[in-house]
Amino acid sequence: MKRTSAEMKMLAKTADALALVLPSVVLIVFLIGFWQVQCTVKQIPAWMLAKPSDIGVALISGFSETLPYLISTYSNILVGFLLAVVIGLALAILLTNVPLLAMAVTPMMVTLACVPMVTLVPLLLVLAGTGSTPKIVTIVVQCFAMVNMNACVGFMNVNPQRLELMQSMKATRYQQFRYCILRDAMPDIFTGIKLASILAMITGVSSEMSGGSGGLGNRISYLVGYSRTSEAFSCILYVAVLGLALYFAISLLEKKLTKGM
Amino acid sequence: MQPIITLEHLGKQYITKRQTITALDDVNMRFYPGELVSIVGPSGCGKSTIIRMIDDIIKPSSGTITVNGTVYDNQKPISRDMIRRLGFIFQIPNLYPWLTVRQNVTLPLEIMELNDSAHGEYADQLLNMIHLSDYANSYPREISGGMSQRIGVIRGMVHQPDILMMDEPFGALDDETREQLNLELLNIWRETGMTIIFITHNVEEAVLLSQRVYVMASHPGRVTADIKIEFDGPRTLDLINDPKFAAYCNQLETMIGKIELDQIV
Amino acid sequence: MKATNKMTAVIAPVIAVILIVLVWEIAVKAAQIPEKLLPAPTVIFHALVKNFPSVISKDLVISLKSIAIGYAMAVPIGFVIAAVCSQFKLVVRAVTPVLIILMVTPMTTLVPIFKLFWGADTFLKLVVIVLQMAPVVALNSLTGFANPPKSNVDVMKAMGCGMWTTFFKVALPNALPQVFTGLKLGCILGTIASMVADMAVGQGGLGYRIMIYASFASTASAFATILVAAAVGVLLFQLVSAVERLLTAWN
Repeated sequence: MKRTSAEMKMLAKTADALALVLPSVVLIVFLIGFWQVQCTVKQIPAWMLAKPSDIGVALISGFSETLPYLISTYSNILVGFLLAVVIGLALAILLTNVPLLAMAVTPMMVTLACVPMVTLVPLLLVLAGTGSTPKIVTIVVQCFAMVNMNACVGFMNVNPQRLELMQSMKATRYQQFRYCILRDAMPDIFTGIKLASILAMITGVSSEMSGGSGGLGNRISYLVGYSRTSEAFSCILYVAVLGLALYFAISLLEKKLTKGM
Repeated sequence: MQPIITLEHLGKQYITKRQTITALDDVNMRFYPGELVSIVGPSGCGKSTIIRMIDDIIKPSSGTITVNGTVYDNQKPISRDMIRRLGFIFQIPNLYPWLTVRQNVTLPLEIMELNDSAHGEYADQLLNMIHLSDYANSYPREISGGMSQRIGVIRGMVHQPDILMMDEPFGALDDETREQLNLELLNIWRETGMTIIFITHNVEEAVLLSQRVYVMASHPGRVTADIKIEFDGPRTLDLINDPKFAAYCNQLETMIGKIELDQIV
Repeated sequence: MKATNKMTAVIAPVIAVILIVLVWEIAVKAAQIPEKLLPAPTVIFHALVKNFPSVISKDLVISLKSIAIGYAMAVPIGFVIAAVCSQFKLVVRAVTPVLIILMVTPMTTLVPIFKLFWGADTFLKLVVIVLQMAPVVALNSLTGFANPPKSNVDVMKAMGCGMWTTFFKVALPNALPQVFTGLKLGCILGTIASMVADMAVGQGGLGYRIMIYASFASTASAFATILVAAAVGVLLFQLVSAVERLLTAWN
């Protein structure tokens, strides 16, 4: 059966994709298999370490029950994350255009990026209650400095020859930004955004573990408290999926926006 | 005839903690409308700096630049209107990788707000002239170095400037491509009547293309000679066989070499 | 011109911080915000001075211990995993997605289950910190090690050098910037993990102290401890940055 060149291209592409993904799939399957065997053979009690098969069952059967917690946690994280990105980027654009402000604020940003903002949660819990807002605020404060720092680095590292072209045409500051600087800075901007997503996940989920209501973090503590270990593990898996989804959404957007570079 | 560009007592100093480097010392030059003038000299003589000063990318430390009657110096910058009459072509085109070939060519039109259909058609004409219309929607990473360079050239002309400044535009290309582009440049020059200031370190290229050559020396950068290049008949590649061609080349090389030798002694 | 620029770069942030503290102080006093809600900087400072010697310093030591040990374990583990895996293309492709999954999943979610295994033990904190940091260090180092500049590698091959000689002479030095990115990120995540672990284990540590102060609504003392925790995070990061500057001085 003869194949057309278009079909050959498709086959080649699928083969490439498989080659890329298969090794890790094999590894993961192997690890899960190993875990399952160890649990069964060593007869580890179910309340201690759940078997993958039980976790799988809990994942599917518990989905509708877990959904509200999932939505609660993820909406906090997404709102906090997006706000942090917007604020971090806006601030970065401001700082690139006002050098004096940049000199004053940059050390603060570097400092803020490495402070564990999750330490604010116990206080916020007592003072502001168990609602979404304190958690979102914590996430924003944790993440915006990371976005800002990386964006500023990106704006500083513009290709000088590309900028010279702009100058030879007497482009306004806005034009320089729109046609040149922003694009050149994309890789760094996205690095900051990806890192911020990781921080948003850990801050969002952890802020629910110290007694706040709703949310997956809280749910995990609750389930473990009742020795419903396989359900607890399934929640952890949900958290992993949420984190992955966010990370990959960002990666896809990055690929689209840095096309050709 | 009045010169279209006059440089008077142009100087440029770079002041560092340890020393003051004089990049240009009392440079005086004139460019008349419709001329093709080359500037040759060793590296570091400041020829690239001079055209960047005309285009207001770098500011002079002293002296004035007059373009079409408008004077500017290190206090007064060039106006946006004036910039539309100047075109600049860089040594390395540095096409924007995220724009297609055609978008790269029309970039100056966007920046200078000349985005009408007439200019758009001109851009397509230019692409046609360098035989790259088929690549209009390709991305820079898909084309060769020589092609990029030609696109850089038409990008510098797309807004129909009166004056074109070219900073060693063909230096990084192989001989064959360079000769081809030299002829294309001569065609463009004859058709448009632009004033062209051409920077090169290749003496043969300067003799082939230009009607006049400024010779410069370095340390400090200064003009040492203004030599007329005259041939009977049109400029073609056959000119290389003309004895006058070799004579001019020798003369220029001696001037550049002699000055370099003087400096060592 | 450049000298004044350097001076401004140092003075400007200092002035900015002083301004912020002043504005905070004045705003709190002027709006008469209750101390339980938002204490003024002077009140926080007082709380810090009062409580640090007796209480907070002990928690600081506990936190520093787990962070230091956790870091000291996570870095070599991550590094070695990356070094070994980077030598085999197939392994790199297999391991990278797994490391990404580990990196984006907050390891603090395992704390309740670990409590089930080991009870409220300090060992738990170490495990969480290592689990949070190692994948980050490993992933970034792996990315660095797996793509050494081909020309340098070819030179090594031409000289008949083995896999590990090439690694130490070419891949490692070139990967240092990327390795340090992983170390710095790991440092931030590790500090976060340690604070959460402190709160969960309940046996001292800065996170625990903050939780206790908060539960008594001793806001000023809580803030004071948060400041100490912040200082830990910042100092750790600066330490790693300093080591980076030292080791990549050739850049």
